[in-house]
Amino acid sequence: MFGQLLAGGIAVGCIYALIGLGYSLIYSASALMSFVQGEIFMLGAYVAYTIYVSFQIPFALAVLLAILIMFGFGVVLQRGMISPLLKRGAQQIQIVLATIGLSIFLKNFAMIVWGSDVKNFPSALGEAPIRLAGISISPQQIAIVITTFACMLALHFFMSRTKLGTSLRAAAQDPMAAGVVGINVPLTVGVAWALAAALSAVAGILLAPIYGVYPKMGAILSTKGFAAAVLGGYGNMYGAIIGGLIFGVVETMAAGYISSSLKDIISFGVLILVLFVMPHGILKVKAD
Amino acid sequence: MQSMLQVKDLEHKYGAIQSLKGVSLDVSQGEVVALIGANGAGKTTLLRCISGILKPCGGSILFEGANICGLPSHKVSKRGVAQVLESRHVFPKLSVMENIQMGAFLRKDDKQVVAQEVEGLFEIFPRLKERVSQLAGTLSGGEQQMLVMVRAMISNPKLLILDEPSLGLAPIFIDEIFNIIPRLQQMGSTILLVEQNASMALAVADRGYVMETGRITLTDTGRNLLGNDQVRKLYLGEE
Repeated sequence: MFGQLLAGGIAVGCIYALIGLGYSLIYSASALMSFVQGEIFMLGAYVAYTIYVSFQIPFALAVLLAILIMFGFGVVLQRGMISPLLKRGAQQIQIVLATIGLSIFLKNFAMIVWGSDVKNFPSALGEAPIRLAGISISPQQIAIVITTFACMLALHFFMSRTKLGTSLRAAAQDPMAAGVVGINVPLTVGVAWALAAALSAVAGILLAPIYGVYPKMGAILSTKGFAAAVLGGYGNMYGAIIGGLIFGVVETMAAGYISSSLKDIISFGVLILVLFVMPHGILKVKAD
Repeated sequence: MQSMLQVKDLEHKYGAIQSLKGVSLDVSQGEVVALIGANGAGKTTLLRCISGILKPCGGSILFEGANICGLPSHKVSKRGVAQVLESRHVFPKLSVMENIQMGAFLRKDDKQVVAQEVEGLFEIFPRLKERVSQLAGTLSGGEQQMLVMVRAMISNPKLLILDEPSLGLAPIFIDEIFNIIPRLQQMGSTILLVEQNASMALAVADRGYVMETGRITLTDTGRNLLGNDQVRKLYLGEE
């Protein structure tokens, strides 16, 4: 039972981690909070569904296209909405409201375009569960874990080993100095928002074969992804990963050992307790 | 001598407060020019207008004959202007080496070439060499100042702008920074230097400008300004 729950918890925790990474990227690059990540997660799933199921494009190509489209969506969001609002003097609070507004708009937009019924997104890997050391795991769960860790490794490599990634970190730490050494700061901020959108879309596409695709699929998941980012230390990439995994495991254990109707009460209860002990999250982000 | 930087009648406002009231200044190839003045005179504002951090509301800034007034800072940097900002501004959570690499962000040269030049700069700033993998935020103030100077130098700038390089440093570091300026000039650098430490700045400068409340009030050679009664009284603390 424990192994089974742990495996399930890690898989769902990976989804929270991917969404949480998006929140942290946006915060570290622009010191802003965006609450449209859940709807980007939902749109990513819908776009992949439309390309794969409706247009009958091969799975791998469909997923790649959907991720690219959502990457572009992140750029358009930052350039077309966030940056103009900031230029007109908007503060953190107005950005929060604008992104909440956009999230409601997108939910209703999805309802009009795709309907409010749950679309079945066939798993490209089949449904037959794999038995491993007494634990039964679906191929989709394995895909979630492998894809998430691949994304994290790629992101880690990009941020720490490439010139563009290092310039993203530099611009997040000191935008003025970054501009002076020749880094195009508006561009790096746009890339961070785009990466956040792409990661959310990946999470949506990964989860779609399990729960299906529907307009409100991102609502509760975005809150849990946000919780993952806060729990791990808001703005810290690695913290979001740890926070997501802990949150997923605690929630799944609570559902398995206690009651699935109490799992959210318990997981968010644990979150609040952790914040009492470590108010800045597990990997504390020091303000410079 | 050909003017590298020509600032003409530059104006800037912070809201309703006019911080630059028509400032003109020029810097020629190979010169060290010092800009001195009291706190709040507008020195840093002027430098930040030149490097594109602030947007002037009047006048012009010609760099090598082209108007760079109002360009964003990453584009000014691309033209060959490097600025060492007041109070240092290292990237605190990047290592010393990553900070230096960010200074070379716009360079297209081979990595080897840049690495060799970094070694050359380490000869001038040997302290940094021992700390290449340390996070920049953990360096002392003096070491951070050296790091931002190396970060600016490695871009191979045509013009190096230094804003208060001695601010908040221990006397030993101040001496070190001011010993380096003539060396950089010998190596072919053109430098525009802002300093509150007027005597040291004027001693290394070919020419100087005195700034008061948004205006240039006096300009002469560094040596003459050092001997000027008014300058001695107001900025060198002599009676």
